Amino acid sequence: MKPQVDDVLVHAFGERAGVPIVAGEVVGAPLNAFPKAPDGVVRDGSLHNQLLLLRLEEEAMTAKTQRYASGPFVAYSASCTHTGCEVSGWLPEEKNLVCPCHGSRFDIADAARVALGPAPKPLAMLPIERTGELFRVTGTFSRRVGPEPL
Amino acid sequence: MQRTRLSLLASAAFVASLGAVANAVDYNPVTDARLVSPEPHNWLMYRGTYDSHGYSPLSQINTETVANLKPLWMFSTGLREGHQAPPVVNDGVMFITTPNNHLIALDARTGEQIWKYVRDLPEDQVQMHPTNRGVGLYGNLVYMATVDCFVIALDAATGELVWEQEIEDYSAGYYMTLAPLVADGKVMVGVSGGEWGIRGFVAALDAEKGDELWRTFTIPGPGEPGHETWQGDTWKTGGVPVWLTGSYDPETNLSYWGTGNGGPWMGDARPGDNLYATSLLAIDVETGDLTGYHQYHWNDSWDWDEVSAPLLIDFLRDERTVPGLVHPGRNGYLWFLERDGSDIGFVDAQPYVKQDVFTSLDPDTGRPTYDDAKKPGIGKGVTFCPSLWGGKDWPPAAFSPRTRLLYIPANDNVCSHMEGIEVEYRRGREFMGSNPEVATLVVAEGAETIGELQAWDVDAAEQKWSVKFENHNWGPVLATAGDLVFMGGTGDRYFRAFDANSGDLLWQQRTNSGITGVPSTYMVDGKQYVAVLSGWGVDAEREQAALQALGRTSVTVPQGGVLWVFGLE
Repeated sequence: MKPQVDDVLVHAFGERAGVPIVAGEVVGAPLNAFPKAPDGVVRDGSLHNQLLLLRLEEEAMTAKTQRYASGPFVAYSASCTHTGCEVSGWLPEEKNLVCPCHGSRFDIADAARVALGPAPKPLAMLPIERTGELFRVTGTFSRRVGPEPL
Repeated sequence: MQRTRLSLLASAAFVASLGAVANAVDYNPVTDARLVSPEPHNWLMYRGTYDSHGYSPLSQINTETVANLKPLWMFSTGLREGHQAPPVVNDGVMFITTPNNHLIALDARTGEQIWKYVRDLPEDQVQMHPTNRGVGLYGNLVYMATVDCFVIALDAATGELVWEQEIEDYSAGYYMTLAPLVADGKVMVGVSGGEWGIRGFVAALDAEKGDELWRTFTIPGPGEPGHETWQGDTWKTGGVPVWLTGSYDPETNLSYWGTGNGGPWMGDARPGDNLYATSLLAIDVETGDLTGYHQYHWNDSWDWDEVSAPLLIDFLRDERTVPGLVHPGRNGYLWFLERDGSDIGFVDAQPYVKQDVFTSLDPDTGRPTYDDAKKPGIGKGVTFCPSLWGGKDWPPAAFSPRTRLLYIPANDNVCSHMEGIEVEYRRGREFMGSNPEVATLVVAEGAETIGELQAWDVDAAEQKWSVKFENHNWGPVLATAGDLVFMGGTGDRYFRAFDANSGDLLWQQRTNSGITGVPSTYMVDGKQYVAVLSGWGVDAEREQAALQALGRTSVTVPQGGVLWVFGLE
């Protein structure tokens, strides 16, 4: 199932997999997250649910980015819009997410606009809200997750 | 077997849409004997024949008549990305496949659609290589390997699903794009996923029922010979995919497969020779036993998959006829090997494009030594030639027994810069370990051309001629007894016919898109046809984008698959 309203974002990998992400943990590089349902099920069965949780300066965000962000925090789909690879690279200076498969770059301050192809479309954004120290899903993805159908 | 008479009335939708009396279709069951010796008018498998020559004995379209070759009909698939399948033809019934595993049966003479099958694929499938390379035939069934890693068998006359067999779990990074190899009552496939930490294998299914009969891994497990060429657990995620159809020798019942590189890409991430990566494997079709191998190069660090199956060509050396295996390698060397009983022997090899990595080859074994300064590693950025796409990538070469020439779709003057990064295995995630920030193509300074169609005399082991193109060439090759060589492959969207003896351009047709489809030829009612899918995508498109980024070309090749069928006016 896709992320649902009121899901909480949890760590996707490592020793803390499944543990809710707290705001203080989101500092530099993007954090991999999955949505966790109120009944405790982590929706980690597909890359299409994997998110990249980031923190950046609010004044650097475009208006579109701000609509999906919660203060300085924003969550993007980790599924590249080119061939669907996991977007796992990060360029801190340019604030670009990078797909390792074919080098596509996405500008996180501008709603994951394609800064460099071959990806044809931006990454999907998932609207979130910081509630206390945790992150809650407040809606559906901004666009299709992953590549367009052939 | 009996010839079955089947009717298009089986497809109610077809009848309804036309509102007319449907034609009757004869479907001639495919037997072992027919696969071993296909009728000249048919194209029953990926490369036409088991020896992978990509050669047709048809000659109605020839050097004299080709000037009158015209498009007769077309068929649009409605899909983007790489259309690479050969039109496979059995007595007037044609089968084509597309990216996303559509399989369409057409009347090979008129282009009328007989049926269409559309695979329902999972939404979250990562398609590193959105393509499919065609069908296999046996009995009354038509087989397709799917990107969600199933083999499916359809009734060739109706398109109804007869069986499907899961080969591996797509969510762990396994997928398939190859045309199945059908031989000895078995359907054989190999898996892709070398960029996803898979462990490659070839599997054989019972052609009638789909039951798996054997599975031979391309990376030996604990206790098996060659396992010692991997350290620790690297063998579990070491890649070595098999993503193209094997060749087959009916006399020995051996199949010959090319294997991809190890994963992650950097050799220093998996120390050792890494058997049987970047190798040629001889696999007994009855048992699945690996009876011989030749590793083209050890501990690959350049993404030089050696996935093309070798062409079975008997060539002359020192007045001896060698039962040969010939392979224009992605590593830029043209390899001449010997079928030595169930083993594989080395004969000789030489570069056919600029190659600056190998410093020598062992004269007895062919094992290369490397210039270490040309071997990228983790944190070690290196420029090397040819590029990661190699002297020849997957597009198949062809051989004409009339000219004794091997026709290689090559790329020269393009090198790669690559640097490795640490990468941690996670199931179903990218596992390449190449830094995308620094990876780039490097075109040789002053290079006027990149793509080539090279013709090599296999007996003299020397190049006879080469046709050159400004930019890259990803064109599979078809040779015919009309002494013609057909090939597309360039971003200018042309499909071309060359004189097989001289390389002179005799005919060309501009198409809708760029052609990376495997061309085929066939005859129905005494008339010869040439057919090819035009539909640019996958790595041809990515190299186009890389060359655009370097300012080498400004052209974006339009996408969209169309089957073109040509004949004499």
